[in-house]
Amino acid sequence: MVELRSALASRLAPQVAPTPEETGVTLSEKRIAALGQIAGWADFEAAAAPALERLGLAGVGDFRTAQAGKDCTAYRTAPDRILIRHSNRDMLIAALAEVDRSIGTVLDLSHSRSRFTLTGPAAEGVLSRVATLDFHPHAFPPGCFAQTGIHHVAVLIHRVAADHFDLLVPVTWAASTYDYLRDNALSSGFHAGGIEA
Amino acid sequence: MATDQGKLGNVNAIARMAELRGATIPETGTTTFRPPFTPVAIGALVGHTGGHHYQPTRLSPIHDWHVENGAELTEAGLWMRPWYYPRGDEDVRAAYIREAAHVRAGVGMVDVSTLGKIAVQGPDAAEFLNLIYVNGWKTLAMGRLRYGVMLREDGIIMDDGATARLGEHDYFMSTTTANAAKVLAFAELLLQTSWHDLKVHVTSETDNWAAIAVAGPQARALLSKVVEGCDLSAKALPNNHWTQATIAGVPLRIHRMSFSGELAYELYIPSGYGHGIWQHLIEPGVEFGVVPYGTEAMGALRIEKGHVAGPELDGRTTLGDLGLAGMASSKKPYIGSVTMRREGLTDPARPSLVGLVSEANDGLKGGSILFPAEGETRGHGEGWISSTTYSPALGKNIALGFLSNGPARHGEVIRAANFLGDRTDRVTVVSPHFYDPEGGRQNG
Repeated sequence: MVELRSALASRLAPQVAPTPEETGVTLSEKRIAALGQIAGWADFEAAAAPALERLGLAGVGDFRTAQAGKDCTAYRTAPDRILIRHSNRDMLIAALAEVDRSIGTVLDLSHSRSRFTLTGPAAEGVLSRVATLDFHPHAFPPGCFAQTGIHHVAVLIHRVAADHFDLLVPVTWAASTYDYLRDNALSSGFHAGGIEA
Repeated sequence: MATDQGKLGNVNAIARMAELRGATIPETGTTTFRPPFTPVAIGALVGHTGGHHYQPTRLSPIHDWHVENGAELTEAGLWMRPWYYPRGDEDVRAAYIREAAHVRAGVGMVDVSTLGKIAVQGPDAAEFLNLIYVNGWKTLAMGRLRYGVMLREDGIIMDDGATARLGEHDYFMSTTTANAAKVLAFAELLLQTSWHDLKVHVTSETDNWAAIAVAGPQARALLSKVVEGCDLSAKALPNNHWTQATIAGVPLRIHRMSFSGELAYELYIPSGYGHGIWQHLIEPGVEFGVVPYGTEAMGALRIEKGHVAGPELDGRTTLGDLGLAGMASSKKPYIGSVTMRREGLTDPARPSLVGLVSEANDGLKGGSILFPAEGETRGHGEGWISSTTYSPALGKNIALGFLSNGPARHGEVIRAANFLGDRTDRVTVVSPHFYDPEGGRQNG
């Protein structure tokens, strides 16, 4: 099989390097094993329920809180859409197959996004420079997510922990967004972390 | 407070007022907040968008290969695309002529990942396509794909592309590179307002798929060498059909369709494997003399074939102008189906698509104004040139353009005035289908 290639292959090393001391922010990529969307209409929740149950998710959730399931994270991206990132492609495909296609749709988007991880004590400050959201922990606590824009590119930002953010970035914009984040993080002690399988 | 009557400066002001009064903020009271509701860091408002970051840049999943192999790049909107792949000291003209000629004689590959790709899904997906495209979709069988044209609400052409039926309720729509976001937004607007009773979802898949067009008389031979699990013969996979296949262990789709006029296939590959599959095709392709070709050669090939593209879909032209009126269904309503029949849009004297050949075999200029062979060179003339190229297949400098009563004037010699270059060329009006008008090559 030919090599799976990251959109950041020309910018990040293929392995994650140790983080040097005095690093304010580390920008890395974590490979997405599987990313799928369930969408529906008036009976969206009923359409999604069998798949969500199989994934260990309590329901479609709200628009600000990322839900953790069995090896997966789910984001309610619209009233009638949910995006699910999973660490096992076969398991996600099997779960999506549970959706009744007369009342819902499913879509494999596994190759559509790059997953950036932005970590370190300066991560919140760097994001505050590039996205017009309030990232103070009172307004954007761990577990919170938002769909917003960075340099006109539509990204999903998920605060995993106080100093750890995940960003889902469209792959064709990934290199440009990486450069933009890097350049805005240089004064905060930037470290290029590498690509984590 | 001026424009900021939201929770930005206003909160600070209220806090200061409360402090001065020795009261709390609730005791002091607030105004009725208006957006923006959340604070924005000053840093986010500072100008980051200069130099390299003046605008974001969009790259194909195969971009690194193009750079590593010497492609000259060109901007296509925010995309960076391979313009041509020079050999030695070739300039763009020498390179694209070589590349285009090679596609006609052998086989070439072009990165078309920039095409817009939209998943159209749901029980009413066929009805949605019927409403948004001028032609019919309810009879499109699974495994088939069809060229479609969509109009704006005013009856002018908005975009074109091919849509494949992937499943009972699943379609894969492709759009032009330039209009991908516009078509998606238009479809979403219609579904949320005018057609909210339709059970349809549209989702951008442009990032999910790399796309490679393999074109030329040797295209089937090249792909047959690497593809597993499908028969690419003309009988098994005729034009306007698609199939699932595997190349080097990667599941992908092969669409049989042609923009160049040659036997051609479009490969839709999960993005992360796009770079690897491109490389994998280049290596066995040596036997067939495969060459990569860029947007300049792609443009030359499609002009030779008379396929319309951005310069012809310029926001002023109708189906009739492009000679596509026969595509329009008379059995269903669709966006623009009433307004396209307005008097001004059905005037037979409207400039219509023609081919033009330079009498002196000089290069023609896009934007030149067309005038009769004799008379004053003044005013708006009778039409304009939209696209030009040197045609390696014909050995002539040719163009596509729009000319009043164009289809009735084939054989007439007229003038093309390029006011910016202070030059006038004599050109012969011909059919826009310069090359293989019967389509024998692409259907072979």
